[in-house]
Amino acid sequence: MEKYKLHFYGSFQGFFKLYLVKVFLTILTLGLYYPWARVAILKYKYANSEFDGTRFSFTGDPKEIFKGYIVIWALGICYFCSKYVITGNQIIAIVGGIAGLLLVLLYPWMLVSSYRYRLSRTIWRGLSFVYTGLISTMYKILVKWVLIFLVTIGVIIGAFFVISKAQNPSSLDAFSTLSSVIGILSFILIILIYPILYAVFQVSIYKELVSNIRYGNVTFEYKGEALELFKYRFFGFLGSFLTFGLSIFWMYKKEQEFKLDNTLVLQNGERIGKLELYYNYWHFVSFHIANFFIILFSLGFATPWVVVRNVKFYFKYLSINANIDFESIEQYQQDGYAAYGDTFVDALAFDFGVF
Amino acid sequence: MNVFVAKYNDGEHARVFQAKIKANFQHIIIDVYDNEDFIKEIVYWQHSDIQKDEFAEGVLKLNFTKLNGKVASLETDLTFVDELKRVCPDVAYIGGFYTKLFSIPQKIIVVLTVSLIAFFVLAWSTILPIAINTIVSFVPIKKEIEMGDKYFSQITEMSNFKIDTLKSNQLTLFYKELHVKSPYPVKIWFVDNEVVNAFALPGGNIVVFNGLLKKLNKSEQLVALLGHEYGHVAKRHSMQQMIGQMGISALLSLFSGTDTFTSTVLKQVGNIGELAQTREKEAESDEFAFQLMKEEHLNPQGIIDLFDKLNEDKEVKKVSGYMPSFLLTHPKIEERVKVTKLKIKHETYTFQSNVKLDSIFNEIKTIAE
Repeated sequence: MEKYKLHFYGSFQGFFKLYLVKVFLTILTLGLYYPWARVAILKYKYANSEFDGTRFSFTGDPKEIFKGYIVIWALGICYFCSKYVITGNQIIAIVGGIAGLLLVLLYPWMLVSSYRYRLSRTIWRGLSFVYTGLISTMYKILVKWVLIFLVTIGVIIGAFFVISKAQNPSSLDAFSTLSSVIGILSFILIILIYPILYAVFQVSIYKELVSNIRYGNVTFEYKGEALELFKYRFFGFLGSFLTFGLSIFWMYKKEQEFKLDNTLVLQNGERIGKLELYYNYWHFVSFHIANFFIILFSLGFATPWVVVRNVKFYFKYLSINANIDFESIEQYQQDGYAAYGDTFVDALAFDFGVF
Repeated sequence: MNVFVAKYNDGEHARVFQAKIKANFQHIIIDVYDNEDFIKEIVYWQHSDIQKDEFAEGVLKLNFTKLNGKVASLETDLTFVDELKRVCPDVAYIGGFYTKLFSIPQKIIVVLTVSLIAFFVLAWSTILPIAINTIVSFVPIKKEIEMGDKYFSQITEMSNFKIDTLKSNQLTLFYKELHVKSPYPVKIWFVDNEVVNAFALPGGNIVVFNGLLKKLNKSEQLVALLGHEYGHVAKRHSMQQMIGQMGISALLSLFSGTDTFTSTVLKQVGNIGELAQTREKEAESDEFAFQLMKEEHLNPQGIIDLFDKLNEDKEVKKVSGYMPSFLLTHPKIEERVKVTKLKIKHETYTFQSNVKLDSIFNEIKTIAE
């Protein structure tokens, strides 16, 4: 089986120059340059990433992102003004509540449209990637898991009240010793069940995303199981008391591996290989501690260096082990997608890990 | 014609072919080789239809949009750039904005970075205060008093301050004896709390904590304290700070969007700039206190004594002892003492004790203990 490697040619110096221009021009133009700066940085990242001897490229146009930012700025100014203009705590709370609710409702749309846009502008060897998933599917997943979560928590709390009332039928209060014990038990149950449900939710979103990424006749499949993810988190947190936090690194490393190692590569629907991430635990720990100190001692100025280090680190240990027939790969047809979703994702500082 | 080795992709399939390329004044000519090392096809790219990927480091990557809309690409050694410059120096795609940016030497970048930071610090410490002062000058005093009162009731509610009305009235009476001409209705509030501190809000509300009051043993020290705090009110410092904070947070979010790098840079620069301004305001208020004592013919030693009392407080001492002065909001107490001592030396005047002030002060002290 062939082992394909990624390579990053970007340098701290080059990256820093882009950031410098970004800071300077963004301020000089009162923020108008920001979309151009963002596209330039994405282009730099893609143009210096190489797979099987060929560089990627990002073909996004700042003008298409610009429209989205006008919407974001308008909303931002409205929100900012509302904080200072509106008096009365209730109205402020209502405005905040509406904003929060909108965010939750828009989340699946943002997620899917961000993937659609980003992948459609990702080019390798003249062909673009495609995201084939539907927004409605993402909404179904979200609604399903919100309901499951609410019902589970509801059942536990309901059971708690039924049991405590059975113990003490004369009173609605639940303050007897036994009911406190039951209360604590149901609290522990919620603490345990919530991360399990959350892991299952995350994995189902991840499965939906990965299985809809397409490059010609090459597709991907995700076979990770949520319980495995939960196991890493459980032992990672539990062990952190004994290992002075070192097990958090272990957990983080395992999560990375879980994400990538479980990704299968398919061509024409047949499994032809998988992604592989392999690195040593101590290498990982020292790498992240070094990053932390670089940011700390440079007061944040060396952030571009850390970005470059991060990409280089993962590319070094990531490989795609598969026998890919490149000759049979042709462009998969797709519709044009607008950039609004991706812009929202950037403005709200969500990172869905596209790059 | 010099020949260069390249990798060629036709934009139709995800496959690369070895190629040999050469350039003339009109075209790049690409000989595409197949697996058996035979020439498969010869492709002509017109210079006017070629775009360079300016962001790729260490390689020359050229793209060519074909008639069917697909994009073919070519990757070759950077030495081909020299060949292009030699054969057809007019081609536009060789030197774009980003190509020029990436070729700027490191030394110039270092100088640019340093001057950029210096520019921000300068802008923050000169242009911003002027802008804020202009805005503040448009706020009517009536409005400022209204805002200050609202702010005061919010703070007392949120921080759960225990205000002693009797002592507050005594303190206000003491202040009135100083005969300060002021458009602000000044009210001094006594808060029963062990914190060794005092602060002023816009519009004339001044809060003094019991912890600080307990430490004072002469009426001149209280004059120095109230003079300093009223200095903040008269010079509209708190108002400037409020407007400044609103403006700065709006500007920061506008400038940096959500990018952590830009906002970190701006915040670092902003913090230092803002601290410098706060220190300036403290010095201004110290000066105000000194002038007040001079007008009332009171012993200016009261200011020095007040600083000594503050210095006794461990927390203040600890903080100002270790930090370099540009990171402190208040100038180091030693520095303030030095400045005031110099002032006393240069602006000599006769002073006497004020019986009325002394008696109110003693009354306050008896209830405060």
